[in-house]
Amino acid sequence: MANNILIIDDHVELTQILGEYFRIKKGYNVLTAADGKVALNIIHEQTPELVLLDMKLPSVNGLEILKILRKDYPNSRVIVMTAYDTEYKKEIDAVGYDAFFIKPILFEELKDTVDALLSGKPLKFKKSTIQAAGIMKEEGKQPLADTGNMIPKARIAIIELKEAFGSLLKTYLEGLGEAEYSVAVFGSGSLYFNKISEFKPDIVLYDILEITDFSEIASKLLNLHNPPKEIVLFGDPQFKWEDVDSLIKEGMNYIPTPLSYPGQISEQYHEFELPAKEAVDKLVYIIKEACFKHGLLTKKR
Amino acid sequence: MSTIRELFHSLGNIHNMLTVVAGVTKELVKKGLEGKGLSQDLKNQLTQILKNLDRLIKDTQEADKKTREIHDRVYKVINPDTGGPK
Repeated sequence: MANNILIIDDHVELTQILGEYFRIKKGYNVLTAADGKVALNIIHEQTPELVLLDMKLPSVNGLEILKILRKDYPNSRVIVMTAYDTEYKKEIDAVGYDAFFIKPILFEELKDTVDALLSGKPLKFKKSTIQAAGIMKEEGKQPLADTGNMIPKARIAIIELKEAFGSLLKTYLEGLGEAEYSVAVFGSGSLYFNKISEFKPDIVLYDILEITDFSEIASKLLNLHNPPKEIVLFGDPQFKWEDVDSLIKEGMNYIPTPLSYPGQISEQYHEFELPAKEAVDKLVYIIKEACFKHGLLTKKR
Repeated sequence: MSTIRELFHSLGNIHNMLTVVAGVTKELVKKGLEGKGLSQDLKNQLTQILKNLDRLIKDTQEADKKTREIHDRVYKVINPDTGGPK
């Protein structure tokens, strides 16, 4: 019997195109819904095996539908699809999903993920979805998929001139329940290079305010016996000078953190105002994905 | 009149539509290329179409990244639902 897929998105043309492909080319039984209420009716009546779920929907939002799916239909697999509004990412993470796509979606990856979820095969990592979000430009090997019982574990060095954002990020990262991060903040890459190398970071977050030393420090870091697996630039976009732009063009990851001033960020993550919260979410996301990519994982306790 | 939030949402949907439609078309062209009896000329043209679609997807991703940057800057100073200052 054909697999039942439900595509929920308020962009009707999109659901039609996806629906047509999965119906005609893959032989799946495709159902579509453009608003939350209709989607819930279909879920109650048909219990689809797989749901492609957009988060921003009329009448009942995607997060509510996700909660219902996880609670009442645990056998239905869910692919979350979302655009710019990542305010609910933590909540979405807490509820859980089988795959997460940031729009614009690369169809090839979506198709592979749909096929894998319906056939029970392991998922591949969605590298280019993150590229699309401007978060990662990694061209290396494919990372591991989220296996459910494994969580990220990494040593993270934050090199930041003012240390303020870094200190908050350290507190936040080390307090995350679904990961084991050990974080150290360094006020300078050149002054504290020995300490950084002793710390043996798996991931380095590097403030663009320190960009003049970046090439030298990055090259020294990468020549260490245990080089970091990932180096990511971050910082206020207003200081994104030409040096930074050329590094980005060369493939460096850069996360804008527009409110990285001590006077403008509060001491608690939940009090962050946008876009600082978005910036933190992006950093957390890239760290998590880097962990999966490089196998920096440990069993959930 | 649409709110800033709705405009960004709609722009995001357009970018998404572009990558998905280009991706679906790529899959269909790839299937076409697997067919037997295609002339070399047709194969070359289909291969060029695949390359062009890749370019379209890449540029859409770039456009979306730029939009995100604008989104982040706008949200910093403007309430996306009212259009007024934050």
